[in-house]
Order: sequence, then C-alpha cells, then structure tokens
Amino acid sequence: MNSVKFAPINRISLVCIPTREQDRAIAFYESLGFEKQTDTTFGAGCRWVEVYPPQGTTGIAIAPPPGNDPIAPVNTGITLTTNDIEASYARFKALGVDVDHEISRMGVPVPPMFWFRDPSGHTLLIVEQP
Amino acid sequence: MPQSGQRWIEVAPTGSPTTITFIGAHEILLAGGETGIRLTVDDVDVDVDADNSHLLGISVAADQVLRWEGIPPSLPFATKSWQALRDIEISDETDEFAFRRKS
Repeated sequence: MNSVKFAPINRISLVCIPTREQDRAIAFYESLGFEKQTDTTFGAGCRWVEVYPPQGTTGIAIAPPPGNDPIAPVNTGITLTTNDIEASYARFKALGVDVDHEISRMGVPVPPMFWFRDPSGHTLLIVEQP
Repeated sequence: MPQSGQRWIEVAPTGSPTTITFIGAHEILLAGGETGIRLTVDDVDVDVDADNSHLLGISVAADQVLRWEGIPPSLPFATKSWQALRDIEISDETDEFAFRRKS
C-alpha cells in the first residue's frame, strides 16, 4: 500500500450542518442536552458555533453556508446514541421535536432507532446503545 | 432506512470513539455530497501539489490548504468512492491517515 502524505488524522472533531437561524438551533440542541462550547466570529462577520453532547468528543458545528441561497434540508448522517430509546423518544416528543411517528425496530443486530429533524429540517438519527 | 442484507462498515481514526459508517446509499441517504465531517491533524502543512498524483491514485481529491485569518488551516478533500477510504484504512503499515476498521 502506498503511503499517504498526510499528517495522521487523530480525531473526528465535528460535523458541520449549515444553519441560518443559529440562535434557534443552539436553543434546540441545548434542549436536547448539548452544550455550546464555541461561539465565535470568523471571516466577514460569520458566526461559528459548536455544540457537544454530554459524552463523546465529536461536536456539531452550526454555521451559516456561504452566500444567501436557501438551505436545503439534508440527512446529516449524524448518529447519536442513548441508553434508553423509549425515554429519549418520549422526551423528544414532549419537547415538540419533529420525530418519526414511531421507533424503528428491525430486530437483531440493528438497534432500535428513530430519526428526528432539527429546526432547519436536517435529519439526525438516534439509536439505542446500552 | 438500511435494508436487509446490507453491509455496515465502521472505520475510525486510531483511538477515536466516533466512527464513520459506510452503508449502501438509499432514498434518504444519498451517495456523494458535502458530508460536513471535520477531521483533525496535528500538522496540516502538506505539500498538496507534490502529493497530488499519489492522492489521485487512491481516489482522494485534495484541494489546497485554506488559510483564513482567525481559523485553523484546513484541507478540503473528497473521496471518489467509499473504496478510497477503505484503501486508506488498509494503510496500517504506514500509520499514516490511520483509519482502523471497527466493525
């Protein structure tokens, strides 16, 4: 195998999701238990925000995309974990989060899971991982 | 939603609790596009021009190092297929790029 002339990658630090209404998104993720750890400006007044789950080292960056084009909701591919999918589903519904109509149960080896949408319409997945 | 019989492959940088998963594309999770994934390295001073042919050889298309005031230097890159990252994962012998298969 050829060597790759990169410094070794040491961490998956962030997944960036394009967001215009950043304050609304911050409030949303904080309501789910995330903690805002970075809130700074860069470039021509752009705001860079990072929120992190209570455990783990990978965060979500809430940043505006360049330009003024509308944001198309995407499936972020982000998979969050919980040790109690029923409790999480009930809590998300109580918070008014846009969640799937039911928990998906495909059976072993696939854990129970459900999708939800953030205020920008971006889709995330949460799975049970005891 | 993943379909029956699909493969589920996870890779991660050495020591990283967070993984990247390769699954077959489906109607709500399409192949291609901007992933938003940010990886970190200790040193991003890479001579991209010198290594470009090599990167292309493993289907990694690197851009140029971005140096914007107030933010860390960064290097956008794209894989042409999941095969590229699988090959990077195989590069254990060199310990460069250092992805390890976790499942």
